[in-house]
Amino acid sequence: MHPEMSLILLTVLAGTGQGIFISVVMLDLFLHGTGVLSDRIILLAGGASIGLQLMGMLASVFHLGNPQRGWKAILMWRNSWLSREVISLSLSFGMVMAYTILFVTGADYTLRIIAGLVGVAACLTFFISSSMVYTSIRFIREWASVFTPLGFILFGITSGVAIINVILPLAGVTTVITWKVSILLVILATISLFLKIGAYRSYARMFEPLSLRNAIGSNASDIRLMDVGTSYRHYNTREYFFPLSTSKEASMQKAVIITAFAFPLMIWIHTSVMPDMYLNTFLSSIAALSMMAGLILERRLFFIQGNHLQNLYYGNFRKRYVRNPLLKSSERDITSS
Amino acid sequence: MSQMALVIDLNKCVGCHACATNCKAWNTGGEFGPLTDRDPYGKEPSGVWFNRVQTYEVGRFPDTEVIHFPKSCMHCKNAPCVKACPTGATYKRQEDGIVLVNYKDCIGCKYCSWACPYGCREFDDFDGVMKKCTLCIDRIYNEDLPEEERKPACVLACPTRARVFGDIDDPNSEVSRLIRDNHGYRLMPESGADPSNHYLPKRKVTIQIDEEEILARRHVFVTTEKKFTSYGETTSDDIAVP
Repeated sequence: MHPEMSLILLTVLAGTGQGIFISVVMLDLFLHGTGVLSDRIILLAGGASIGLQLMGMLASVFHLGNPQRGWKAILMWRNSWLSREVISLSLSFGMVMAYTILFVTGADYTLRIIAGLVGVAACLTFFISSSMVYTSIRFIREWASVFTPLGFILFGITSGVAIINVILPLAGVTTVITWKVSILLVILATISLFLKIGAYRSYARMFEPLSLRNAIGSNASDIRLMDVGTSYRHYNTREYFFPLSTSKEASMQKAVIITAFAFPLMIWIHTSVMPDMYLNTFLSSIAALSMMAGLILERRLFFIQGNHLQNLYYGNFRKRYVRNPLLKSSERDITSS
Repeated sequence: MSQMALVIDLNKCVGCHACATNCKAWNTGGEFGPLTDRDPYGKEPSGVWFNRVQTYEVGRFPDTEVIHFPKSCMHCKNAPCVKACPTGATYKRQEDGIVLVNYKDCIGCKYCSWACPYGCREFDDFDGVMKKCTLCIDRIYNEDLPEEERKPACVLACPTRARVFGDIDDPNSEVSRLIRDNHGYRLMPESGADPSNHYLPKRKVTIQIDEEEILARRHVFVTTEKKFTSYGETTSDDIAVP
């Protein structure tokens, strides 16, 4: 599929904003009564969360052909995952604002925790709905795997904790809480790293034995596309296609793994054992920036790797070659038949 | 409940694009139009078409054949685009099974076109909405047109009569009989979309004649029968040859 920057920014930024909110509510649940969470932290974290979600919402509006009717997207929540995504994003945005206001105005703890937990439920619904938008398209096999929803949830939460890891020392929290958050971050980042490597390996093993025989329903052994029917590009050759060779895909995957997971993970392992607070804050912010950039690359590659079925008709269907050592070497490259 | 659909005979299609051109012309002037064209006479023509014709070559030289393949919205019974649409702008009519887009509700998120496994939907970047074949719903119920012209524009334009329009849920209709008699098939049934448009496969009809049969009938005169279609013309497959 052609990578749409507005959708990439929506899912990454809104995901990170919601990860921040989930982390804040979890900290509030576990640190109630210790006085560690000050107004300053909540304002920084809540402001970051609101800002990121707002940027994501604005980005998604630019994707629409008729944004003035965008509110109608909530109407088919019974059928469409996209509808549920829009509803859960609006709900979580509202809950983040409600929670932040309730905290800084000193409202009752129970009230703000209820707002927080409703917001966490909305955030998880958003992760699941926005990933199901892609997973529910069953014939795009790269998208229809279990790694898609797991990835959305895990990367959103991990990037949120990464931002919290920067906010806490910036707001002056020097207790053992900061150290515990960085340990949690190391664990989450390690799981994310292995999840993404597992996802890329599963894509490499995907063998789609689809050809023009399936597309046009013919039993002939040799079918070739002779004429596309148009003299220039159009929607069907643009929207579903991105020119990607196997070597370029491999190097893009490496870039994603290093920028989003491996490099920040190295920094976080380092900062979780080193005591220097100022250096740690500086390094943590570099790691968080690297993870955000890496997640944007990851989501872009996710879009690019999606192989739509209608590309078969235009000769744009990207075939993966299965490496079966039992096949003779002349049979290992499966051609279009 | 009827399901209106097209049956396209791949045996007869010659790839002339008359169906695509007539569809474009009708939908530029009809109730749903116009369809956007960018740089139509220049070097980079790009636009919205409901019906596109691809050409495929089958076999290895010298035993090759050419298949011309027109493809438009299949009006699936289990349409994935209808399930995907967040606003409900895309809907399937109960009375005749035609899938339509309400341009006033469509927000142009393009999710329906991702969900369609056949690639029949196109985004009109001028109007900001998704557009697709309407099965000429503004023609088939149109009282201002004569009875025999209340068919989709592509069906009327086809010079080889390769496209036929009718109700596939009615076992006595022409399209149902064509599907039964000619092994009509649907595209990619494993997609789960249950498309309604059928294609009739390429076939060659052969008979075996022995030399005695030719000699035995050499003195019989050849007679022809003319059968009139509704347009008052003779078609070549109506001439009987013993």
